[in-house]
Amino acid sequence: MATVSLERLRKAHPGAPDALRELSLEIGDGEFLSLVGPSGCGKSTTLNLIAGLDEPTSGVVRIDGRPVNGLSPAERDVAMVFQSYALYPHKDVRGNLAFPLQLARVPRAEMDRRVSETAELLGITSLLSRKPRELSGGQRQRVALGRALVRKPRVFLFDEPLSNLDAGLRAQLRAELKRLHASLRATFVYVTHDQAEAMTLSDRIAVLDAGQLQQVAPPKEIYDRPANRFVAEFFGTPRINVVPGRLLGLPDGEVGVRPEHLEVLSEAQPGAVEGTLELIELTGAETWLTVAVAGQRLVARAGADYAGRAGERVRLRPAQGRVLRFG
Amino acid sequence: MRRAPAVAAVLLFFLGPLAWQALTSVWPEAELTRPLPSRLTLASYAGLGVPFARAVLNSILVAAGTTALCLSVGAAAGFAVARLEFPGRRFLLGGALAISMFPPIATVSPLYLALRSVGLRDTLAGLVLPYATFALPLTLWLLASFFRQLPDELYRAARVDGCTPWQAFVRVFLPLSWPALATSAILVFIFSWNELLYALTFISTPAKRTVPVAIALFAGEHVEPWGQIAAASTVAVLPLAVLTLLFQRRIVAGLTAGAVKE
Repeated sequence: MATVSLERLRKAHPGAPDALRELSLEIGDGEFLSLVGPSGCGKSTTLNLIAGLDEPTSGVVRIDGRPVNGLSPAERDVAMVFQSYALYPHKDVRGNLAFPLQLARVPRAEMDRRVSETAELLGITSLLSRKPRELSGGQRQRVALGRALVRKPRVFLFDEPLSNLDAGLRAQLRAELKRLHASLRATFVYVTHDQAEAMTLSDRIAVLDAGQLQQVAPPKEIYDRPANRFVAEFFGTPRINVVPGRLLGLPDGEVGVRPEHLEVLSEAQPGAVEGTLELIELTGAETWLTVAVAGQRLVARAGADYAGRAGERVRLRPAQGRVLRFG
Repeated sequence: MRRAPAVAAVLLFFLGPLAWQALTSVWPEAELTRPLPSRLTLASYAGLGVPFARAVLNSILVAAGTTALCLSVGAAAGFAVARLEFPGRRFLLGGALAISMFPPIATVSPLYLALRSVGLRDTLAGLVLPYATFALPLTLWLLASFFRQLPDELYRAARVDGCTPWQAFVRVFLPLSWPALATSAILVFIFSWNELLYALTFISTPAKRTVPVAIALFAGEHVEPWGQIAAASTVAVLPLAVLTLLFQRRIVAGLTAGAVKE
């Protein structure tokens, strides 16, 4: 397996803002790293630069310490799974799986063995002689995954591989990916705009915005100690409350409190703020309250059996040590 | 049922002339002005003889050669234009379009001189080359726009799987391009099959004439052999009809179904 290191990668497009500005990132051997951010943040660009589908304007991509700039995707020994699956429609599943091996001139017997091994691993053996158009979305993505696995590459790249699937299937394949990574211990670089996906899958998350790296850290740290307001707002649903400090009786400046860190109190207590309950959303496991305090809206989490009504006065108190300060 | 009259009108408009021609070809020559013939005859076909058979063969050679040349060059160029970044890409497409707008008559003299200087005047290859220059822009545009429609991720997947750009073209894109290739082939074939001006100008040996030239030269000084002209024209239409029907089966939508999520 392999390490990937990006050194001061820049990607410029004429007549447009830089897609990537001086990105430096070390990805460890066997690590599952997610690249996360809104569309156009540079995450897919980064993936293409690692794959060799695109060349950086400046900077170096290293795989296992060796610079790979200028090498073709095949020479870099990386595999990629795409959002749209990108299966070859004229080949059956077996042909799709065997294609990268044929190109690498793997001997016939070895090829057959690896194709059936991979099909077995992903539970698609019964589909081997079908064409992609005869497969469901989940099956197609399994085949695409198989096409990447069959080569035993040094690095796996994923470009939003689950975004086209419906919610149930997405959760199922997410769990499968996680198991797969655990058993392969291969280096995974995973691009997604879905923060929940990044949180559940990754060893570390790299957050990008407008071509700039915002933070690289394990999921828990990203969530608990976001480097800035952008990162804080990107992770967590409902979104973190960002308000002026004095609203919560704190010194001036922007502060953030996650909804689950706002305690809903039944009576006035020191350190609590009072507001009017505007909206109650019951999700089953918990209740989200939208509270208007001095013209600002705060979202707080209450228990599933919360019994208040819209229009009532409620008191909120931020949990100790859970208030984040943004400059 | 209400559509029937409209359908009949359209069919009459398109097939009427053809039917007329086919009828003329089996009408006895002496009875052409009569509303009904006393009998039908294949004499006009029999009268076409070996020279016309030779012309049909020449036309097939020229049209097939032009089609093969146009498709191989046009597909590769179309792929490059659609998928690869290279300097002068826009210029290539624009230039190709500009060339196809030249009126052929304006290029006859320079082409004649050019072909003579390279020794291709009065050869079938000397027809294939200029035909290809006129048909290539169309092929290029048609195939480039087809390749552009194929999902970008398919190309990126092929590259990551280890294809060179050329392998991606041959092993992934070409097998998916049958509909566009068939369409281009038919258009180029028909164009070459029907071309008269160049064939008339560049070919002087009677044995090397193509079908349109042969038909045009049927008329003698004193006679206008309508029956034979009609028979020859009917024969000339047949390969096109067969070709179109054959390829029509290949021109089916949905060849890319299943490649990507629609």
